[in-house]
Amino acid sequence: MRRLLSTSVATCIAAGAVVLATHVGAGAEDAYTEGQARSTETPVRFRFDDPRGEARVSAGAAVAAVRAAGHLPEGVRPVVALGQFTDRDFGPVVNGDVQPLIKDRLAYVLTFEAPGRPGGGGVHTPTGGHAVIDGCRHTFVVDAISGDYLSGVEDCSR
Amino acid sequence: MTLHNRGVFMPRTKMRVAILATAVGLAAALVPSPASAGACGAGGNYFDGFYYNPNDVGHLMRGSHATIVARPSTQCTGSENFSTSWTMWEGGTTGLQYVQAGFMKITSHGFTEVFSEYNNGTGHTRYYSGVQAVDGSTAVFETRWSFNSVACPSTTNCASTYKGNTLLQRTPFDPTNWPSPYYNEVFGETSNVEANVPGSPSSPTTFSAIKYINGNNAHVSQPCGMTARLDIPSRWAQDTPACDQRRVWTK
Repeated sequence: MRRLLSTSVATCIAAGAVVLATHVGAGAEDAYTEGQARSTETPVRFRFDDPRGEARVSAGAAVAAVRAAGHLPEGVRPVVALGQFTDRDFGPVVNGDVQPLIKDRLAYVLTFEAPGRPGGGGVHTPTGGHAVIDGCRHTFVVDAISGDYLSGVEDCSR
Repeated sequence: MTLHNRGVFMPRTKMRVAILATAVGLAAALVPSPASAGACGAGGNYFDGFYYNPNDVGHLMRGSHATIVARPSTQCTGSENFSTSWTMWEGGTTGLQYVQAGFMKITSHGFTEVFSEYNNGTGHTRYYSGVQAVDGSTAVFETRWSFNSVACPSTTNCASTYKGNTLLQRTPFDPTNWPSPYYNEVFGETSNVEANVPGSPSSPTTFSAIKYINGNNAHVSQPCGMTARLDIPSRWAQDTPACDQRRVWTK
């Protein structure tokens, strides 16, 4: 994993990451913009802390993993950052507390904005359905050791 | 290299081998799959399934429940699209106030994945668990009201979604503020006419042990009387093996 650049060169802020530099791979599969992970309350469930240790897979491979899962639209270049990831809302509930199944995992977080299409209720949704919502905040996470795609959120709430 | 959650689901390496073997087997035998999907046209929401209003038997509704068999879907190409099977608690009158959980596949090259989604009428929030489901695997999905719970993220009451005992999502709103009545639903759904709902004639998507949660927080087995909705009868189908068991598929 290429080490992240200094935060002093941060140029803009995207959901969940501070943008640092842009990379274009040999093909479209691994194009991304490098960033720095930070905890975010949007979506509320994902927590990111400063990374500890070195990733064993590249950021480009993480982008490819999310694309392979069907979650990266064509032509979209995500911001990619490395951090310690905890999904606070995924796990069994014991005595009212969630026991996270993914906790403090070294991971890449990919963020980008893209349209999102809601599901719909089967009773009241008219034939033909609902309109696409523009500018949804997409967050996807890939294990930085195994390269496995872990989880994601498509947040189109206003 | 394995996935982070197991149960009925497979380690990724094993799954890749299984997928490859399955693909080779299908190619060799030239087994017909469900009707081939074409290029994506205009997107929307299209349904194949059933719904029920527990008010008809004097019950408040406070959640939904079903065991769902995961089935692959053939999807259209050329744009982002989804094919999904789920249980849902719906309220309001717009089709945009709901909480749901089940399986979803995104695009023709994605995989079938456990997901959950809520919408308070102001835009949806969809959670993808990363848990891949192989053809024929089953999981119990539930939406459930949490009353006066400190676990609710930003309100006193909220809804939570589960796969088995594993929490998937919690809403930042109280669904009982939606206009009633509320509906218990099981559906296959796609974002495009050209896509296929999950399931085939020989391996349909099955929803079994369908229940709703009533105002006393009791699980009630789904009685007869669900209403059917089938948006594309020329390509999709459905049947009712039992009142609490329903099936959908692509012809």
